[in-house]
Amino acid sequence: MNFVSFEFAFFLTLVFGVYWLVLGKSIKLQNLFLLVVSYIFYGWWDWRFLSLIVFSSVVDFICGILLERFESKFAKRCTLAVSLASNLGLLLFFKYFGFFVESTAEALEFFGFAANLPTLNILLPVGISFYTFQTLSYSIDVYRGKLKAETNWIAFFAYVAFFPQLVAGPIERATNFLPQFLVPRTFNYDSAFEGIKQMAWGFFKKVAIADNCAVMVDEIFKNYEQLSSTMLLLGVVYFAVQIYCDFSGYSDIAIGCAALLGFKLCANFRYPYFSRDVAEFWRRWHISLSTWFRDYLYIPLGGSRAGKWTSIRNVFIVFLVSGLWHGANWTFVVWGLIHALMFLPLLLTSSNRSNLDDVAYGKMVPSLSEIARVFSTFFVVCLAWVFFRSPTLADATAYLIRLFVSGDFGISVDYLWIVPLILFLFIFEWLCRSKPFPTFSFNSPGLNLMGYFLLVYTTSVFCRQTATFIYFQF
Amino acid sequence: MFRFLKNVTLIVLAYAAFAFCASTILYHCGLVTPRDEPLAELKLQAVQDNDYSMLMVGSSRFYRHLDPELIEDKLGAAGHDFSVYNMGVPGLWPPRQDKFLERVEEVTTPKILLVEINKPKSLIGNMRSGSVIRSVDLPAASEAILISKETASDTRTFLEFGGSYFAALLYKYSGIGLFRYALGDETDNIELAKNRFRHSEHGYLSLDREQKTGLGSVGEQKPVKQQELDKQRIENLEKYNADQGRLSPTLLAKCQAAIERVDAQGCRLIYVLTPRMGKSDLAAVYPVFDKLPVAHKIDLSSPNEYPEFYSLRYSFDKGHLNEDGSQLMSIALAEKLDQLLTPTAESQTKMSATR
Repeated sequence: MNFVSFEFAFFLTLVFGVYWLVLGKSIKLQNLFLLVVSYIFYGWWDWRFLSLIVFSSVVDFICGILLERFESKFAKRCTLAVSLASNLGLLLFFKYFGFFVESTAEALEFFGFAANLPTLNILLPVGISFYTFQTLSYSIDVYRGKLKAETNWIAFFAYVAFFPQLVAGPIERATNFLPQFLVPRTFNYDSAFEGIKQMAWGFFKKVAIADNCAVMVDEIFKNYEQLSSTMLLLGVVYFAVQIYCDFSGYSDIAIGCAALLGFKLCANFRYPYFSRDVAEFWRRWHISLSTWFRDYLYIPLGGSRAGKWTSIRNVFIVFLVSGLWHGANWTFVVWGLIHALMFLPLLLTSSNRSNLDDVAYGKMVPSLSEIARVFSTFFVVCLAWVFFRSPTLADATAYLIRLFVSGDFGISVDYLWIVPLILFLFIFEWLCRSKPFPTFSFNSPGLNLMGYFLLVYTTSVFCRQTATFIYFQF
Repeated sequence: MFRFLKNVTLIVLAYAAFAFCASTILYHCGLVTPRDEPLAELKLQAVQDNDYSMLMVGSSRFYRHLDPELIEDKLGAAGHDFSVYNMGVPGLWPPRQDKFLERVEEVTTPKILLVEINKPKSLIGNMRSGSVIRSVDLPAASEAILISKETASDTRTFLEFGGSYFAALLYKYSGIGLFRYALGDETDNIELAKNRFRHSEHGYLSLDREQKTGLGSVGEQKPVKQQELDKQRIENLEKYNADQGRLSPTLLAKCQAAIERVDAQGCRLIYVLTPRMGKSDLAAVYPVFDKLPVAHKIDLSSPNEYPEFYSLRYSFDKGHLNEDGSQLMSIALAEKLDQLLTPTAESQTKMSATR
């Protein structure tokens, strides 16, 4: 079920009503209800893939209990290996099998061997990368002793399948999220309203901006060989806006939706395009994934404390795996590699943690140096997006070459109508950059209400047949 | 909890009132421009530089379906000497199509002007089909709203048009409006358009050819199922029932005025009803088409007369024929034109012989 649909509006209203008005007193019934509606939500796409979530939940539920019961280190390790193999096996099979087979065949052909390897036409289950990472974090945390194994299967299964964040995150840690299923939830008027506001902002980003940018981006990337440098630059910038609004829009809707049901999800974006360097960008972009990689891959590999060369190796591993996580294509690997290369100078000069505060903190207007750093970071991030968006490495390279050498600077006004909306987005976010998400905060409640009316109305006016969320495919 | 529900209900009601008022302004002033409109400019340039005697103005159902060379050949074989150019532009529905027709009339005077009959698309409808708001034209927007209101079913009226209908009536009877030509017509970057549409031949390009060449702006093909075509076929048969659809006096007056205006210039305007129209469009358009003079209309939509237009064999997607289908439709149009121009049995025989 897509968030941007009438079915979801009806679904959420119904769930909200039953959850609070009928089942408000019983936490067990609430969890059971959440589990059932989450499975309905997911099964709306393809009920057959529900079996994967159930399988993943069963494996990690049992592994969690065993991890706690076993005394010996060896038995614990074996149990963890089962959990890792099951979750990563699912991911590798459904997401990467075709990619590895094709890449192997190409490599063999390159060296002159005739390759006739078996291929399977496998459908990618929606959101598999998200919920497998979520369940993995549970098993690892229980193994590390950070978390007690959950024995309430309803709560655990509901935690894995919680519908607002099931298909595109945020990837919740069991340490933060699972306990919320075990304590009584009471309706909170203020957080529910905050949730509605955040959902409204998410819908605006997704429907009014991302979906409209998508049409132009598709056209520009499809016809890039015939377009001017300015148009190609516009295409890249629009894609940067599209992917940000699409994904952060989903996160906002998910967080808002969870707030309506009494849950608090972690923040997934913190105004990433106001970053002053790539390290800061990654502290603000898809936070739940980058911290996941930090805690479960980078640090176990030795992090930055095992010498310079090990740090460099670890950074490259994390970025390459992160690229591959986004999709089974070499373009994503190169995208990760570019980010690793941009991160490298910061690591070598130990300045990767130099911008921990908000840009222009406490000021309305940033300094010239801050402006230059924000724009240059945005520019290099945009260039990397070309690889993310292009279907092949050859297309991405040709796109970039044409962007810089076409010598043609024509621009079509047809592609500029969305600029006022994008400007509004960035100006509003700039003004609200110290808040978790942008909200109208005039002194008059009437003005705030009018602001939201305009936001919702703009969303409805610019609504087109909505595209699915980009991150569903990851 | 109940305070929350009460407040949310109040906010939703207040928002409904707000949206009603906002739509009054927005629907009333905004016209949308097809994304492919630069193609219209290119076509205007093309007919300005050449002396075509027959022009065809319509949407993609003209651009994709009518092959001018084939029509020329067929008409030539039947003894009618015409040089034909296809001025179809994807997404060019009324009222933008009306504006375009006026501009065509300004730059050239052919002997025959074939115009696709269609109802004005609403702002939201056009937004969803990939168009953008570019011009603000109060009279045209008012006319579009009136036609939409006149042809819509009663249950949809209020929700769909909101205050815009009352604003349109206000403008019609008092001339009081909120905006007038705030932006105006503009088309830019013809060079880009030339590049993008350079593969058009005589203004015609079938969807298959565009997809095969990989050029142009055609999106992903959405395969159509036979049952969808059967549904279209039934809808197209139902339109001939007298009680189907509501006559829009505004649309009828507009079509009649256009016929008279073009006639006064020594040209003949012929409205063409194309196959593959949507149900609501048909219901709105057919009652008007039915009332037009016989000499000024051609019906190519009849499933009984042209069953092949509703078959998978000749389909590209739900709304369009493929290249083979477009060839059939071009021949069908040429035959109908021949009947209109020389309504004798002899011409029929000649045309059939050339098939």
